[in-house]
Amino acid sequence: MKFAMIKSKNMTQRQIKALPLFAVLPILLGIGLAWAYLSALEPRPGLGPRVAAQLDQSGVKSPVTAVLLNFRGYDTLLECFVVFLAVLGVWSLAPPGTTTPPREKDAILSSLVSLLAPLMLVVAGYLLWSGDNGVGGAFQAGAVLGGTGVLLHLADRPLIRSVPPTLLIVGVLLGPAIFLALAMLCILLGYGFLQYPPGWSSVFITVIEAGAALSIGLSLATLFGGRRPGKSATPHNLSRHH
Amino acid sequence: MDAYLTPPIIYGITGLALFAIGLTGLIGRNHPLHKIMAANIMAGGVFLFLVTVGYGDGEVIDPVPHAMVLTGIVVSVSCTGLGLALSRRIMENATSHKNRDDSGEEAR
Repeated sequence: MKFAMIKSKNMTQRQIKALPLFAVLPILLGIGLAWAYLSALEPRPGLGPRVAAQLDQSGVKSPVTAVLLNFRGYDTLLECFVVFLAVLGVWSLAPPGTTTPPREKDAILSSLVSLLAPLMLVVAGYLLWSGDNGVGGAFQAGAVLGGTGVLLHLADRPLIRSVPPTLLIVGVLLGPAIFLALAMLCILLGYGFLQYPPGWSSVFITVIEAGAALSIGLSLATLFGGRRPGKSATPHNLSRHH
Repeated sequence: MDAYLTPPIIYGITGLALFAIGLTGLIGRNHPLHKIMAANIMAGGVFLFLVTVGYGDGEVIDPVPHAMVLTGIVVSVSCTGLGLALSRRIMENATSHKNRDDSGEEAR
């Protein structure tokens, strides 16, 4: 008891002594940024009116989706590849093996997930469909799909594990690949990179969004597994037994 | 007092404060898990700030920051996953080196 008290006292003393040293810079930076923000604070529409003026040409009715997949499609293409790179990085850091859930099987979680998972898939489909008109889109649908995968993994429903590894790689790569292929197709058709042919914008955007949502969902779910699913070369982790 | 508590000020300053708090943690903490959490807090602050900037004058919403935040959230989740995988690998390597050096004399 006494030891614990001394220890905690030492801890607080050390933390109080150490706090100002590394907190000075962020606090000063935060105050400076707040001052800059407040001194330039006046309502401004930004790029809103310009987007609204061009919205008819974008092929979708939602301004956010129009920016995401038409006006600044280049950014979104790169961000899809960033997600893919993260998956590649995680898969490179550990040998392939079976990803087991972090805890024992939970009856309540398992039954709850079996109720929730189909609903979440429907919600993801709805979000993907509603992205053309209002709130929704590939990234929201992908996030819900990823959440479904995480829940299934936690509840020990082997959805990701039952997918053959090659098929999983195809699924993770599908979204970026479709995106890039359609961007190249625009060049072949005589337009610029990611410059959709007039009248075909909504078709291009819908196809890209469907692929991106699937790949983002699969990527987030496999990222949670922490390693590439597949047959492990050794029964136990090789790096632990040199 | 009402003039000082408009939504752009509340959300903008909260976002900047979160950014500063996260940066403090990122600099001051040593454990990789703490650093990853601090980076997430920073990212949350940046997202809140960007959405506030995109609020505009309340009539016409600027969709560009919204689109950036939308993709940014997914990218930040991927970065967290990669960071966790990296830190786990670092821990595994550290423990395996320690075990080899100590050769079973003492676990810790």
